[in-house]
Amino acid sequence: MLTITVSGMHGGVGTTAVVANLSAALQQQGLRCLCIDANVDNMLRLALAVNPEEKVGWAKASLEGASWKDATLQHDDGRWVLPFGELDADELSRFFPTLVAGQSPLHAVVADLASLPLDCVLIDGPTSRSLPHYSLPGVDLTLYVAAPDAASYALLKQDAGHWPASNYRILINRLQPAQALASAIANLIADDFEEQMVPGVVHEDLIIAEAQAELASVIARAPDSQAAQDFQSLALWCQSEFQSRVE
Amino acid sequence: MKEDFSSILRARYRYYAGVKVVSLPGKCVLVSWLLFSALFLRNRIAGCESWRLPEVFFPHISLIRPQLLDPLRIVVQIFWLFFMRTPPQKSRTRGFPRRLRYVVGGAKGRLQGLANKAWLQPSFWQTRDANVARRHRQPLTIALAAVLAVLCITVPLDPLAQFVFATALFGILLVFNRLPGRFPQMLMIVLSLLISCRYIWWRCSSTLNFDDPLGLALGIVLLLAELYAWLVLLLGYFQNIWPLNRPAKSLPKDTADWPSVDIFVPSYNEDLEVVRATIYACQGLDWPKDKLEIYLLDDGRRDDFRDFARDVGVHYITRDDNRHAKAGNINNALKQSRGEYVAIFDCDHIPTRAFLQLSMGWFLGDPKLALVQTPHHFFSPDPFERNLSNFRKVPNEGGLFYGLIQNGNDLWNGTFFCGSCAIIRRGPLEEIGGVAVETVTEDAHTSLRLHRLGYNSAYIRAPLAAGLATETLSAHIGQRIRWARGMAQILRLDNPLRGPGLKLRQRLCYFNAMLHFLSGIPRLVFLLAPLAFLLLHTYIIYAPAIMIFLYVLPHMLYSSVVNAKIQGRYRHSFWGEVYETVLSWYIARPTTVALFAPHKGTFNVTAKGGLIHEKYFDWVMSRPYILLVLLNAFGFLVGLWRLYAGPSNEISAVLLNLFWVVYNLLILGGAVAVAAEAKQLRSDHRVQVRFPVALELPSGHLLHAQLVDFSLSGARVELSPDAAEQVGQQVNVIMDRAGREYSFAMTTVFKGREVVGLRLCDQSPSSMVNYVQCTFARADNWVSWKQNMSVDKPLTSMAAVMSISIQGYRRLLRAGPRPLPQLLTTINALVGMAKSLRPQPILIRVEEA
Repeated sequence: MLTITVSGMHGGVGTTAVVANLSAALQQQGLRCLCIDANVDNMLRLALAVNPEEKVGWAKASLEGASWKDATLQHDDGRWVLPFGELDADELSRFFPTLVAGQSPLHAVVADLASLPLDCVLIDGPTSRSLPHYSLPGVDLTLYVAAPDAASYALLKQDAGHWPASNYRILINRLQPAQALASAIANLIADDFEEQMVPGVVHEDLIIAEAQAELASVIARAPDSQAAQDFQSLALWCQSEFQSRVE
Repeated sequence: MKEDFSSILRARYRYYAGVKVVSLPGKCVLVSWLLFSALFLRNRIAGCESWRLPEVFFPHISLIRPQLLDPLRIVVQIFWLFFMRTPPQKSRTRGFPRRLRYVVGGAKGRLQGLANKAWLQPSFWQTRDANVARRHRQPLTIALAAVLAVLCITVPLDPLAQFVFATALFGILLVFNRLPGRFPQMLMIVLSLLISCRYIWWRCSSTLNFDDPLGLALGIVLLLAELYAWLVLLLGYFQNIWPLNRPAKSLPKDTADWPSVDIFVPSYNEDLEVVRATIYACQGLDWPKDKLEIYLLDDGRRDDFRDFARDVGVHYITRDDNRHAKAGNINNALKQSRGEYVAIFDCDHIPTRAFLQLSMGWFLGDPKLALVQTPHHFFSPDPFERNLSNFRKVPNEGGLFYGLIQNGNDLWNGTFFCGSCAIIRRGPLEEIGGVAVETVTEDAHTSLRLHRLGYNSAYIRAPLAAGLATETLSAHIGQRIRWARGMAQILRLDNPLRGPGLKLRQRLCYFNAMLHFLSGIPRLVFLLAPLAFLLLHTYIIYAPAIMIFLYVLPHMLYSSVVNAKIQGRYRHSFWGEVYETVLSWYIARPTTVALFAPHKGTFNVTAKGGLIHEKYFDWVMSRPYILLVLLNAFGFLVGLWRLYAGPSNEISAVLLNLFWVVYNLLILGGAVAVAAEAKQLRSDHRVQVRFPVALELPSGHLLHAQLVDFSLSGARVELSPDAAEQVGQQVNVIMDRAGREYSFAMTTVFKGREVVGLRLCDQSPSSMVNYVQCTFARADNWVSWKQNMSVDKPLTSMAAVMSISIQGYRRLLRAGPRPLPQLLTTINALVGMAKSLRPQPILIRVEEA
């Protein structure tokens, strides 16, 4: 089983969209996927077409002593999604200490997963600076999502040196080659982190936002779009990366 | 019951008639057949309903519209069905070859192991030049083999013995032909040499008639032509015995250790459009910017060139006179630049970005290396390819030279400089006084001089640059005339067989190249030789027809089998004869003149990038072939008359010469076909490719598409019908180049269901550099180019040449004066009728029970 954590360099780089669309591509390529939302925002469920009224999630289940399996929902295309859960202010104040103290219920979830018929688990993680402070279970690969902007580049220069080299890759999302600044920064990132780059980028494509608003993946919504192509290539790369790690 | 019967008949009638009108005889035939089959035949015959028999077994005959020749067609088809057609079978396993392959499997590994031996590695022969060669390691074995060879070649045999000898060796040859690897190939060469030498020996020793002065004179001419062909065959085998396939060598990691390179782009009268792409591509070469200087060498003293060079920021060099043409142009620039290396590109050869990185490596390892040459690759069809419409299907004329011969030369440290797409070290070049100016082929002469001083050369077969081929047949022939004249000049002025500095193997490589261009007269001799007997009735080969047959046939068969094996990927059988025949007349005179008066003649520039607005037949260029065709056709008729009226003891000789004439007519037909110029309307050549791009719409949506062709001014993309609908007037095309993405604003020129044609908007230099980098200069552009080429199969190739030959005669008749086009129409009708008699394949469907 392939476990990937996706983390944005900063807010708004499109982490949740990457998780939703990458999982759709992997599922289409025949891998059974589970997406876990590790964000308090609990937004991943919308990208996977879960009823917005639905409040279930692994965090909520653990507080209520219920099983996380009951909180797991299935998308029409076969993907599974485990939302964070809709916690009110009181529940959140009870939940946070467990997260930081290294006893996150997510460890138990991931330990259980091995016995399930799954090929791939994608965790929609917090932003890169917060990631080490959340107690998330160990994964095969951390995918840092960077936008071609100054903030992403600055954070990468500042932090990437501390990350274990074998375990992470950088993905450039929302690239607009027609914009001189964006392509210059993308080239800078690609030059400075040559070994760590995911080959290929995800372009800025309006269809991603539109699909998100329609609670669909771009693969299903617009198979001819470049975004669908980008995520399909990314999914293929993930598979080959996983194959090479197994060997 | 009766109604039933008639309704069945009516249904069957409707089945046959369909919606078409049935002619009166058709009605009679159809009704009588339906009645006959319903009344007298069994329900099912041979697995199909009996009333449908005609439709299944005679698919080419229409019952509702019977034709005059139908009875004949029926007879032919019945004969074919009963006697010729083999029922379809599952593919049979062929026992022998499979077993052979199994046996050979083990040996193959060992042979491949041998390929790693030191003496087959690049540079071995070059280091060996420094040492004293130790030769004749086993003199006894060699002496023994020599004695045996002399016996095999010289012993006269009677017809039966000669037949057995040739056939037995041919069996061995075919066995070797199936074995993989290079050693079996060498053994094949030995066998072919044996047979060919034997033939030449026999020709020299026992086929000249000293009693007939005319026959003797013509016989000697033919013999000389054959000796020439034999020598070229011999040298060709030597040259190509082990093509080196030198790989690219990597450069040091630190770019500070990379040397400085000057790029020369000489131009004389070409359009600025043609030069622009080359300059842009040079600017994008992957090489440290401070170590790369680009020089546009303009011999035309044109203001727009000077302005262009200033705008894009490259050096511009011009001079007051045009002394020594291109060579003088380069030498002039040599004085005004100082890089350690000089890379030369003709102004229409666009280098890929990896050119320098892939070709410079060898220089750093070998201080004596003075020249690295890469192939000349063309992305537009040459006149042969265009007029015969076989672009990218059959290897072109240059394919053999750049695919095989240069590679073979490289083993012998004898790579020639070809004027473009090459890098030369400045030191040695200045040592020989710059590019040679004495001949019109300054390139080969320059490398000859470098070799004379003991410098090494290298050839890298990867196509790292691409350019435009010559447009018209006359321009193409003009270029070849220049090469041929230049080579003949070198042979006279700086004969590679003599003079200091060269190794024997290098002398042979150069000599063979020069000899190759002297093929004009021998080729004409072969095209006219059978007429000596048919028209003049003199025996130029004074031997019984059966003996000629038994000696000539093995000689030709062996050499064509061996050449198909050696050259198969680079030149298909029989095409070489067509190429050579087209040139023969035109190079015959200049080479002869140059041999006797080497200082005559001027440099003519090859025109490229032109248009041909109308299809036309080039009567001027094809005049000599038409004359040869008429002579051979006349010879053929006279031969038929001799067959009918001549003495019976001559029949075999007449048949032999008729066969020869027919072969000549076949090859000449190919040459005639080339002279019919096809249309060439586009000024920008489109390069067919296939790589993914993204189209950015003004709405912010991106569409995934495939780029299917591009030119300097625009591109064509293919995408799904839904996506194509969304494309509006303006799009940005996003292309990827080695992980970098570039966006180009384009406007839609036309829109098909799945195809959109786009024109580049921004033609500013900075945008064009990127555009050329993303298209023409893609590193992997030309590597996969040869994938579509079919492998040489001599018989298939023969059929192809035959078909273009027929095509040639058709075009000739169609373009000819008054009665000829009408004659062609009649012939076409007759051929069409004859073809309709041919039996047709049938398809029995299993009907439901």
